[in-house]
Amino acid sequence: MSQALSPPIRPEYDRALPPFVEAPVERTLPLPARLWQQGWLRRGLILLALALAWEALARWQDNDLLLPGFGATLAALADGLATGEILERTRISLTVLAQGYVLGVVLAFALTSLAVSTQVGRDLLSTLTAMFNPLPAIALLPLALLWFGLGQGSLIFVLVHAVLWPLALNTYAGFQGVPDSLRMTGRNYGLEGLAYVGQILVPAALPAILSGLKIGWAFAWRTLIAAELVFGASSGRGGLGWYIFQNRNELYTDRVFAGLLLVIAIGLLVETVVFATLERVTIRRWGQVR
Amino acid sequence: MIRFEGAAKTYPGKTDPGRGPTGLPRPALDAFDLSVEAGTTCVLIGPSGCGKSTALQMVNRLVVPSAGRVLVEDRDVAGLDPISLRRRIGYVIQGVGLFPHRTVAQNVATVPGLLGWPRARIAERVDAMLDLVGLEPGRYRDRRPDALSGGMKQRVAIARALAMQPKVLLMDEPFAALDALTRRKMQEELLALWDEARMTLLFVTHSIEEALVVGNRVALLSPHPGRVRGEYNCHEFDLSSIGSRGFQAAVQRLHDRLFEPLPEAAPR
Ligand SMILES: Nc1ncnc2c1ncn2[C@@H]1O[C@H](COP(=O)(O)OP(=O)(O)OP(=O)(O)O)[C@@H](O)[C@H]1O
Ligand SMILES: [Mg+2]
Repeated sequence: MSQALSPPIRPEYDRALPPFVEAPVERTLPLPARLWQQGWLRRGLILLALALAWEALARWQDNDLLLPGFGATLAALADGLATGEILERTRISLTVLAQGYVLGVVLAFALTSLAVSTQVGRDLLSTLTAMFNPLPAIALLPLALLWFGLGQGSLIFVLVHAVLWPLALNTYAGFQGVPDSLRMTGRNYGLEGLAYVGQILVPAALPAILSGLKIGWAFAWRTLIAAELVFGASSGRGGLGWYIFQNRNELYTDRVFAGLLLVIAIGLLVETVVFATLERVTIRRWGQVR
Repeated sequence: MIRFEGAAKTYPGKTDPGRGPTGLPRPALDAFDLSVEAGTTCVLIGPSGCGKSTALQMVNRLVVPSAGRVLVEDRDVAGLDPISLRRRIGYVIQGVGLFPHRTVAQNVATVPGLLGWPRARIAERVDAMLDLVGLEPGRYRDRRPDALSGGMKQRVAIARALAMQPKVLLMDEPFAALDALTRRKMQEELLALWDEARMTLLFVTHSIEEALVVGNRVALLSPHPGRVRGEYNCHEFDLSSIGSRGFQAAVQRLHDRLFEPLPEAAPR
């Protein structure tokens, strides 16, 4: 740099550093600050505030038919749990959900594995996802009912549709983002076919795959409850959505709220326990996400 | 020993060098002739995109030449089983390429693991390799690559490439991302390693100084398509020669040659 530099030009210096003395550098924070750093505590406080606001609103409204309070909802939930009815409904929903979800995941992996290995597979994947991803799964329900009748078959069909496309799209995008040096390493060590997908592509693309699984889960849960609301019970064995719908018809609003609360709780549980654990033991430990 | 005999590579499709005036795709590497005697080190140096990595990958058949041939220990690699060839040749990839989900030990043990060695033997080899590249096994064995600095990752990559104690070692800009101090240290260790094992080393770098220090011989490549513009002896230099008059002169000579323009293409 030989351009004229406007003054002041500060003097240069060398400094003799004293030897570094090892000492603990951690400082203890005051208790309130330490408590505030606990994520679960912050989130718990938010939930508590929401529950209080709900209860207050319900008391002010004072109409149990329109808006039962938090307390009343909890009572209805406890009642349902005690008689076992709501548990049975949940079990039915979750069984169907698991079947549809697993089938969707398997199909998504088959499709993306095909897409990374062949040109036809790539074209197939991009065409199919472009066509079907924007289509709400629930919109396929009438068709599913026509094909599979009133039963689990139809539910599984729409669930697969809800999981397959977003997961395939995410997984494929993740595969494409795998760095060249890693691909080259895999080829250098002679990994091919499934070993290549399993040992190189999947671990490297896991952040994208997990986010696809999460999106798929949310879509599936939502779709299932909606589908049950629409066509309800198959041979008297309806799930949680059907429970909500039935109780609304009979104007048990507190039970409707209890059902909704359970839908939310299960969603939260899967998100914060199942997926968070999965992330902690994989991509967080591997340092792929912070 | 490694020998390229008129090796050429044209990548299908559109590549960076684009097309020449005749509309033909330009090769990445053309009429490439080079010999590296057994137990010596040769350094490839040349502008970015001139085909250095391509040349390296021809040796272990990650790239198949479009013309010409490549011999390793006097046998055409085209006639060898690629997998066993690659497991026999150490390859330090440009950009490190460690498995992010595996620990340091598992990364180093890649090939022994694929070959199904017994556990105890693998563990022993891994520790020996980590020691060799200056990583304390007890401290680093169970870490994941994410918890290492750039220099440490590079050491792990080298340990992985050395795990089978290869006779032929390919290194693609192994020290490119390191600071001057770490780089110097790694060069020192590499030279000590080579002195011990005397493998045939083909090494790629962008640093003229590094080329002169590491190489017994330096091959200067032309911009795309890569062809050998000259080979220069530099076995007399080592780390202690840096700064000496002779070394500076050699650096200047290579530098000038690197900047010398190529003759214009003659119209056909
Ligand atoms: N797989 C590939 N497909 C198409 N073109 C490629 C491929 N690999 C390399 N090329 C092209 O071939 C040329 C040589 O690439 P190569 O990676 O060998 O260069 P390099 O000398 O190693 O460059 P750098 O110093 O930047 O690493 C480049 O122009 C590159 O774009
Ligand atoms: Mg390169």
